Amino acid sequence: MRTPRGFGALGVIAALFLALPVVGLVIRAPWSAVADRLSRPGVGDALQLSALCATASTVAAMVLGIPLGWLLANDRLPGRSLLRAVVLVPLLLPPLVSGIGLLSVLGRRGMAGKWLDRWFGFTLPFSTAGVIVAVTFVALPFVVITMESGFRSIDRRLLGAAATLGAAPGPVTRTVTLPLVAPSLAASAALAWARSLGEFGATVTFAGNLPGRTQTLPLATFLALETDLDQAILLSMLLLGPTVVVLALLRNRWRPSL
Amino acid sequence: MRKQLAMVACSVLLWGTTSCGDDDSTADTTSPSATAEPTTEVPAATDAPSTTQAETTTVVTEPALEGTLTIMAPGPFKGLLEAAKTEFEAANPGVTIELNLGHVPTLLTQLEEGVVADVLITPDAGTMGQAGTKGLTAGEPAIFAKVPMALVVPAGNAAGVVDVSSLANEALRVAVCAAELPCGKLADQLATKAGLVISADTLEPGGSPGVVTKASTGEIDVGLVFATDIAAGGDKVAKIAIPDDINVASDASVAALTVADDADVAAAFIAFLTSEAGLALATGKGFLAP
Repeated sequence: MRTPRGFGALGVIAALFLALPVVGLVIRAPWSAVADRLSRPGVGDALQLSALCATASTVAAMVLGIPLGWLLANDRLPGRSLLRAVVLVPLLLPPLVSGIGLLSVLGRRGMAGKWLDRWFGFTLPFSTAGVIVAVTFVALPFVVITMESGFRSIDRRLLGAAATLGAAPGPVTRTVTLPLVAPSLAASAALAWARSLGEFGATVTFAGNLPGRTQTLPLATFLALETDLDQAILLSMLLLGPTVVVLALLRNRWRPSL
Repeated sequence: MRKQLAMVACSVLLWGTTSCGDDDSTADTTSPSATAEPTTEVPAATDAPSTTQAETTTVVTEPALEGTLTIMAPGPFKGLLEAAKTEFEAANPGVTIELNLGHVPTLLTQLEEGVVADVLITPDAGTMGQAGTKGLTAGEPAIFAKVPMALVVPAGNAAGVVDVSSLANEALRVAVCAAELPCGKLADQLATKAGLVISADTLEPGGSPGVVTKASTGEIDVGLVFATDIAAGGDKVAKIAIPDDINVASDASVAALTVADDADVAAAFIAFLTSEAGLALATGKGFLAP
C-alpha cells in the first residue's frame, strides 16, 4: 500500500507531540535523589496498594469482561448495539463522574449500597474493596472491547469443524477457542492492568484517600503536586515504567475494534 | 456503531462550541451597554446591597483603564470573583476580566512554567508566601478576607453532630482535607486548639469542595471545611458553625504577578477587592473581614 503524500511528515509530528512531554518528564525527574525519594514514608504503601488493586481489578475485569465480550461477538444477540453503547459509556465519562455514579449505586445511601450497609454493616467507600470496585469499573470496557474483537476474529468454521469431528463443547473451548484468542486475552489483561494502575478520578471520588487503605500511587502523586513537584514527577515515573513495559509487550497484538 | 459514536462526539463538540458562543455573546452584550453609559451608573446586574459604595470607590479610578485582566484563583472563590468581575467591569468599561479558576498548586505550577496572568489569589497566606519566594508575585500581597472553618453534615444530620468533638468520634464517617492543602493545615491547627485527635476516614485530595461533595452524597457524617464552600452543596448539606474561641481561619490573599501585562489594571483590581465595596461582596459570600 502506498503512503499518501504528507502522511510521513504528519505522522512524525504526531509522534513527537505524544513523545516529547514524556521525554520532558523523564529529563526533569530527580534521578540523583531517587533512592531517598522512594524511601519516603507513604511511597511504599501507595505502591503496594496500587499493585494489589490493579491486579485484583484485572482479575475481576477478566472474569466479567470475557463473557460479555463473547456475547457481544454474536451478531444475533438482541439489543447488541445498545449493549455495546453501554459498555462504551464508561470510556467517555470523566472518571470523577464515574465515581459519583458508583456512589449513587454502591455508596452508603446508594440504591444497592444502602442494603449492604443495613444488612451487613459494610460500605464500600473508604475501603480497599471500594478502590478495587472503582478501578474495575474503569478497566472493564477495555477487556470487553478487546475480547469482542478477539472472538470476532476467530474463524467460526474451525469451531464447527471441531464439533463435526466429535469434540464436545467443553474441549472445543479449551483446545480451539482459547488458543485462538490467547493474544486477545493477554492484551485485555495488560490493558486492564495498565489502566487500573493509573486510575485516579473514580478512585478518589468513590473510595477517598487514606494512606495504607485507599491511597493508591496516582493519589499520592496528585498530593505530591501540592508540595513537591519533583516527588510527583518521580512517582509518575513509577506509574509510567510498568505501563511502557506492558505496551511494549503488546506490540501489534491489540487491534482496536472501534 | 461507528456512526453513533461520531454523532455522540459531534453533539459533545457542538455543545462545547455553542456554550462558548453563549459566553462570548453575553460578554459582548454587557460591554457595549456598559460603554453606552460610561458615567457613574452601575448596571443593576449586581445583587449586592453595596452598589452605592462600589460607585464611590471605583469612580475614583478615572483615567480610563483598558485591557484584559487575567486572575488566577482557587475554584471555590468563583462566586465572589464573578460578583467582583461584574462590579469592576461595570465601573471600568475598558477592562475585561478573565477568571482562571482552578486548583491552586496547579495554578502555581502553571505560572512557574511560564503561563501569563496578572493577579493571583490564594486561600491562605502560606501559599501566597510560596509564590513570593518563587518570585512570582510583585510587591506585598494583601489579605482581603478571612475564610473561617465550619462543619458540614448531610442534610438532616442523621448522625446528630453538634460540635467539633464529632470529628474525633471513630464510630462516625469523618472527612477532612488532605494535610498538604491549606484547609488540611487548618484542620490540624483546629485539632490542636480544640484538643482533638481527628479520626478521618478520608483525607480529601479535592480539598474543601471534595469534602462538601462527600457530605452531599451522604458518604460521610461530618466533614471539616472552609465555611464559604458549603453553599455549593445546596440543600443536600447543612452547616454547623464552630465557636470563635476554637475556630481557625485562613487569610485569603491577593497579589499582582510579576508577569502582569498591565500593572495599573492589576493594582486597581486589588484596590477594589481590598476596599469596603470588595469586602461587602466577600462578607455577602460568607467570608469574614480580615
